[in-house]
Amino acid sequence: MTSTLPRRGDEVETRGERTGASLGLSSFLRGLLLGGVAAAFLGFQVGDYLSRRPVFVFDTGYGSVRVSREALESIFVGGIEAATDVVAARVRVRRKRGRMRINLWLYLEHDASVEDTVSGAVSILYSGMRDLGDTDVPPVELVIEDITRI
Amino acid sequence: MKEDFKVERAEGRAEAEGRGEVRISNDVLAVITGIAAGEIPGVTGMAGGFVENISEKLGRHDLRRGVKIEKQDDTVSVALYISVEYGCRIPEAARQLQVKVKEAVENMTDLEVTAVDVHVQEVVFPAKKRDDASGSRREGRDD
Repeated sequence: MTSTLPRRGDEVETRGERTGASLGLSSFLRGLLLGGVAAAFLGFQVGDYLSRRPVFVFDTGYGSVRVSREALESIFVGGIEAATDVVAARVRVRRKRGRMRINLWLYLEHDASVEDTVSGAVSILYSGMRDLGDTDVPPVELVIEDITRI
Repeated sequence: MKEDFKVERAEGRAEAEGRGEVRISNDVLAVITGIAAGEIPGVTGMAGGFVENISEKLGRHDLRRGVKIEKQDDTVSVALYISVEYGCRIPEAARQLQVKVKEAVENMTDLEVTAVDVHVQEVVFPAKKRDDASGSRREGRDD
């Protein structure tokens, strides 16, 4: 019975042998892919965490009530979009050093009155804040970033 | 000895008169809290973390979702992570929730609830809720 294993000194035919360069490239691409997935996951987690941080806190006597940034933005957007002449709205809320900064983007009907709509939206923002808590509303810095007619 | 019973995985505790100890696990307190929270109008559900959301998508309904229990001796503090329906008055809903949870836990376990902290994580719009229930996000918009 003859052995099929090569002996020392035999020439061995190899097919599809990968060079050091191709090995390096594939492991680099694999690392890049895994790194990308990990970074996307981490980014998603961080974004989720930041959007759920409380920006509005009040006490009821039984414990505290903390309203997250995402919830507050949804409340504002819902209120503003319900107004006539507003097609869509985008709100960003930030809390810094006891102040609340609200950035507002408005998308209006093409024939909407800008003054009326903006004043309506601002009053909705402030009444929304007042409705949220029985305690004092923190100082608010409102920035209207953009108004677009559609 | 049947009368000298103990539940090992327990952290909450209620004394049974002279017949041993009754320990109530944090999981049980969380389930009581979760059920009580579901009875409040305006509260659409509990907001869980990343893993809890995935298991919810896979069809596992967990009543402990969005509930954190902290126990010190015979007192309990509860943290609830909820989502509410758009249009509901959050201070009122939160207060009702706090009262309901406090009553439920105290009545069922005899533990004192020191605080019920409510974290409003998200606001659900009625249309979105309806779409989610039917499994279609575009229902009603194509008309």
